[in-house]
Amino acid sequence: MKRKNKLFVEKIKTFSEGKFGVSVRKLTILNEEAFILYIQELTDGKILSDSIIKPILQNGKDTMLTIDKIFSSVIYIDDISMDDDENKIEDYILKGKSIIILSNSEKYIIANTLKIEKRAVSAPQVETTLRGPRDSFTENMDTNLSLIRYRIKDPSLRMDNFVIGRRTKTNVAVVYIEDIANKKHVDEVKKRLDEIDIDGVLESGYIQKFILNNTFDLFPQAGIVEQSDTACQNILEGKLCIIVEGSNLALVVPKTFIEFLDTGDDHYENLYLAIFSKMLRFSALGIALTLSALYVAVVSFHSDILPPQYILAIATSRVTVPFNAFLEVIAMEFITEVLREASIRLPQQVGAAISIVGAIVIGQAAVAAGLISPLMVIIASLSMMCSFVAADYTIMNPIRILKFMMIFITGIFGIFGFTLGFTFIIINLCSQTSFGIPYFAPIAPFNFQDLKNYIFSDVNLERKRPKFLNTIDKTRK
Amino acid sequence: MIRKCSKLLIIFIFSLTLTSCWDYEDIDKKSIAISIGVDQVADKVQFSSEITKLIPSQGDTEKAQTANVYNTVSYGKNFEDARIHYDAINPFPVFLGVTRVVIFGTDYAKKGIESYFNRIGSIYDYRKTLLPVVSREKPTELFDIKVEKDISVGFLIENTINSLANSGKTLYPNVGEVLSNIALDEVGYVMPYVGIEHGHIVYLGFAVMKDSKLVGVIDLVDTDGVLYLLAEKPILVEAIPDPKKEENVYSFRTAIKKRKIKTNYMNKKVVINIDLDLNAALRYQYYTQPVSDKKIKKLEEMISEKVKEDMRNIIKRSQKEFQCDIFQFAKYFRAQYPNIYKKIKWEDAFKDANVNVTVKTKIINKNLADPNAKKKY
Repeated sequence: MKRKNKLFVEKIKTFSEGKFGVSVRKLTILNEEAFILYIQELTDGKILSDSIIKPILQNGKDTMLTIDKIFSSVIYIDDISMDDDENKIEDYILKGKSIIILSNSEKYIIANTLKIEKRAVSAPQVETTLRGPRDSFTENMDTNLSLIRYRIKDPSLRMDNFVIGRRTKTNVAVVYIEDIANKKHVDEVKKRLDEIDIDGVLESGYIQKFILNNTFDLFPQAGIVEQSDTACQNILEGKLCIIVEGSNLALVVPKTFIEFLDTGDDHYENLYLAIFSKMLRFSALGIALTLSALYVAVVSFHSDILPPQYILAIATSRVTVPFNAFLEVIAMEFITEVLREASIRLPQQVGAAISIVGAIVIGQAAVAAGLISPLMVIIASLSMMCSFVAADYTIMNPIRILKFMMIFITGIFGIFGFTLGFTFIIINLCSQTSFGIPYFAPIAPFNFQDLKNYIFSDVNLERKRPKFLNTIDKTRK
Repeated sequence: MIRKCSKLLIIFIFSLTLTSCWDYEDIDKKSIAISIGVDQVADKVQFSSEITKLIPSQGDTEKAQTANVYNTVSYGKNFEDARIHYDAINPFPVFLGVTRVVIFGTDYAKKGIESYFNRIGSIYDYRKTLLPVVSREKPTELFDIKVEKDISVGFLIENTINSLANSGKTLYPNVGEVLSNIALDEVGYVMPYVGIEHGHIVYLGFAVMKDSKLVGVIDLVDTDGVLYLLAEKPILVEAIPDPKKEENVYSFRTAIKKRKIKTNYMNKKVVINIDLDLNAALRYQYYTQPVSDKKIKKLEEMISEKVKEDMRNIIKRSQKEFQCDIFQFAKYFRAQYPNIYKKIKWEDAFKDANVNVTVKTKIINKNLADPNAKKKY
């Protein structure tokens, strides 16, 4: 027996003890023994028996089999390779491959017999849309990559693979078009991915945290994307899409603030509707952030800024409310946030209950009892509704937190505090970057062309790719 | 880290020291005054006001809530004194941000209202767009009237004057404008004049103020001349009788196309030239007749003459009767001849000023009355 062979046999022995969950199948053929090592849970049994065991046994009945012969003319698997490093065997097996070892050979065959349970491509859950394809990403990376590959048949489409996570060994792919995407961004993303040193990656959120500039930044610098068409649209624009195995949400970098309020629908629908819905989304974002704070400012500090009739209406509606406006707003916003949190966590069957409780308790009972003014109910529900308008919900999370900051600072300083808080937010937005791109581009720094293209969202008028991305290929049309 | 925080700290310390936003008070915990009356009773200042009565909604009524008001009166030997008493009778701090109207009683207006305007001008509580009016009756009497047409007396007066001013039928001078007239010295001004007639509050015309003292009243029917001179976009109705057939009257609606006021100084006399270009639209005739080009010309002349007469009369009245420049011609003269303005005494110069009025009217709409049509039957 050769030296290498001994090492293989030792490996087989250790695996046979059953500690690793590795199955060893021993085949006796004409002149020698063959071993097949695999993990049952990861292996497609049908392929294993039909394409590996069956041909080996049949061929081995009357012919001498060598490892090269098995490799080239016996087994039916498409994805196979050969190796001779005994230390890698374990890795291969853990990745779901089957290893074929012959008792007198110094090499072994690695055959891909991986079988994973995956769900079918279904309609998006997070990034819902009215007009737009329904095939969204799933947890399976190959499916996701195939969805992109099927939309973009460009030979320069690159899918660079990384394995991240010392223990989970999660596959991560960076997808971009080589002759469009800015090389700096590509290198930077790859560098940051290479630098990640962690035991495991379970969701794209992990990767997002690692490639951020600063953990304490409030606004997200990477977008999430669930719809494959949106991902392709971003890739065509010159961005990079990071797909993580086991996550149905891909990441898109770099991403600026206003792009979070862009949806696929805008690009497919009529120009006027795109402009209208953009304006709608921006004002909704503003309302979600400021409305409650403004209510405090107006009711408690500067009632004069409203016309007399309005002041009288507010005063009359608040007559029975025992709390001051600040406490009233905080209480209402707290309740609506609790409702939202509860409705996300609750199983679907009881989800309806929470909406009934919310509507009755807050909408009617609180007002009838005179604890909350009717106007406050309108404000709280409006601000809640407004926080759902963005296609990428991650941009609304900081807004929800900042809303409370605005209420507090307005409660202390009045409209002055409101201005102070708002200025802080704007300064924060303007001073952030996403992979070297100003976060508030193309508003600051201002670029008319980009802003126009953003607002119109019309493929017909969009001749150039966004300037701030500094892509290699600058023209679209 | 400290350097980062230091900036934040500086901003916060500045805001803490510089803001006066510590007056946190919910709007429903304030006495909201809708209108204020100021009058002189014997030797005391009388403050009266309408305060909003906030009524909580009745559990099961689905009706929208409307505000109601109650009246308060307080006296004092001066404003401060009266205000102390005024605050003493109100359950909450008085909020003047909603106040729409300040009503001066005739007695107080005759004594002079400048001091109260200065008070409004310098105290932040009031809106500077407040409407000042002079009342023939005492403000308390006005406030006692049960108003069915509006939320309160204050709102009623404000809404009446506002709607009239919007349709070019009166002036809506706010406190800011009056203050600028007071600052100009030497000129008078007019304020809406209201009173009670047949149990209703009505707009009666203009109160003429000289040195912020009431010196006379211009009746509603005589206000046309003032409006042609002062209103931004006066839209007035002129009824012109047919020159040939007395019983037929042409009803026109006139609007100013161009108003040009130029001043001159000749032979130590101020000359004021007023050019007015009017557009008139024929609304209807009492007895419909075809209108010929010739007749149109004649009517144009008649309208011009009528308007000219209105303006002349009121200017003459202001020169002779009120003896003050209620039209603020001084502004034009001062802009054109600043040096002479400094030397002369405008009040006297205005009394003897030559005022030339020219009015040109163009009938732009004949209400489909064809000028070339012949009478068929």
